[in-house]
Amino acid sequence: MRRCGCLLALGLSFLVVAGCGEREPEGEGRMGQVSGRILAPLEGATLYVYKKGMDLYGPAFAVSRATGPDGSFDLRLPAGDYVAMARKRQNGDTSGPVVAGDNKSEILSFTVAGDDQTLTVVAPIKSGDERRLTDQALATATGLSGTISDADGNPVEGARVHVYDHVQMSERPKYVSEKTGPDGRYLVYLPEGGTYYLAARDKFGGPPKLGDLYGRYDQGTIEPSAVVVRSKEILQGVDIRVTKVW
Amino acid sequence: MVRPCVLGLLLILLLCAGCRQGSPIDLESLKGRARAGDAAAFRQLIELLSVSERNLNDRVYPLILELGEPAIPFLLDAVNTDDRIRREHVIAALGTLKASQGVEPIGRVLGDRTLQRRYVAAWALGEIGDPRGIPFLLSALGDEDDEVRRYAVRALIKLNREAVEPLLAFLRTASARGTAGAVRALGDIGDSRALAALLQRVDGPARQDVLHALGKLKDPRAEAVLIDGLSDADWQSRMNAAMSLGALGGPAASAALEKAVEDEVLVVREWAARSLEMISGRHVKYRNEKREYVLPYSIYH
Repeated sequence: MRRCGCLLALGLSFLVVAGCGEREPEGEGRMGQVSGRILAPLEGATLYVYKKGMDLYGPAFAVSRATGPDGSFDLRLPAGDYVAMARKRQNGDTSGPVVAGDNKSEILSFTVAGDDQTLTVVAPIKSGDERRLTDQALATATGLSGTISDADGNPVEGARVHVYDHVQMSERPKYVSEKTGPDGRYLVYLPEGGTYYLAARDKFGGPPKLGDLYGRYDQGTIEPSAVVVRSKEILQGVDIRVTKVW
Repeated sequence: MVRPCVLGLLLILLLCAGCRQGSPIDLESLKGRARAGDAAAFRQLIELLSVSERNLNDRVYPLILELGEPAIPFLLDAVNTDDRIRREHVIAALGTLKASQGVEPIGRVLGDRTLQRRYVAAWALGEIGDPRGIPFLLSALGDEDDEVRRYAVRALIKLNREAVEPLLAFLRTASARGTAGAVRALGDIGDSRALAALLQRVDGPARQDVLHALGKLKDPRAEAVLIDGLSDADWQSRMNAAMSLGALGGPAASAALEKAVEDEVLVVREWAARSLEMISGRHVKYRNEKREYVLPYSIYH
């Protein structure tokens, strides 16, 4: 008896759902297509605002608080021309690469001239991964390898090596390794030989902050040590120690 | 009747135990008490610096920095703790707070080669910037731990001109390892008092470092030695010589660099071209791996 009741309820539900489905309107004459997207507010996203001409992969000029359940954000900016992007990373980080599964908007340009304005930002989920990961250069057989270790000399898991071609190392890294595994080993493939400067860290993006693990490949000097890599060579033993940023 | 009572009692005990285990530490309250001068609160905060679970010590460390100078005596009491993680954080805090009272105890930690994470002691002495830390840092230049040596070099560079005479005195009796560190520090300090000592060591085991450091001194009296370095059998010495000549070279250096632009090693050719451009102000091409003649890119933005 109880089983019969359940089946009846299930059948009724199907009927109700079917009744609520898409229906072609009845009527005479030519039909027109109406299509679009229904968007829901995105909670936990951040708007990154850059002055026009700034590197969109570097630190932003201004960053909003994470959006609330209604997706709203609010920022006060001095007059000027800006570009902005909304990003929401699944891992909760506020910096670092935007990878598949994260939300990322198109670049918005706007001008602030002392007036209030409202922006509507569409930040769809990213499906591809455009990071310049080093396996893209696999065919070159040129690169660097070594171990990232901590203050006790133990291997560090989850850190990356950032490779720069400018000695100040203040720009976006030219190449970035995959995260190290439990053995702390890394391998960076490079498209060509050359002179490079290295740092290892556990976070991605922006300057290292208090408590981050960070280490430069150097011998204590103001400038980092140049690492010379020849083409068709995997330079081994380029070990980097990371310590906390105090 | 007895069984429900026992069960109830057990439940209460379990709840109590659970509450105790999960009760969060109220860091803000501890900070408030410490700010009011409560010594026990200071000590408790410093104890917590050893707790890495859930990054607790990462949250406590900035609180201690916020408390500032009043925290220093309590930090000094904890410098010799056996807990390497707490010691590391304590010394880092003393360095960040620039606690000159910490120079001696931190220096002793730096010199105790049985201790781990001593790099932070060298770092802290550099941050404090008190010349009394220099002898400890000089000893650390010969340390077996390369991280300690690295931070000692950095700290001596921060101490800058105050460190020049002690470094020169140290060089007279330094080991090969200590010499390399001292040469690097003198190069980055860039004081002309170091020129003679560097020139004396150009044929020694720290040759590569000396050739690099001479460029940082920017003293034309090093030109001949650097030109000679362009003919070295070791390509890294040739590269460093080519790199350094750009900062101080004249017509003689230009002539030598013109030849070095055809060196067998790519990076030597590249640096020779870069330095020639620095000396002459004209663009100089070098041969890349594809045998194309290209301009060197600027390694600075």
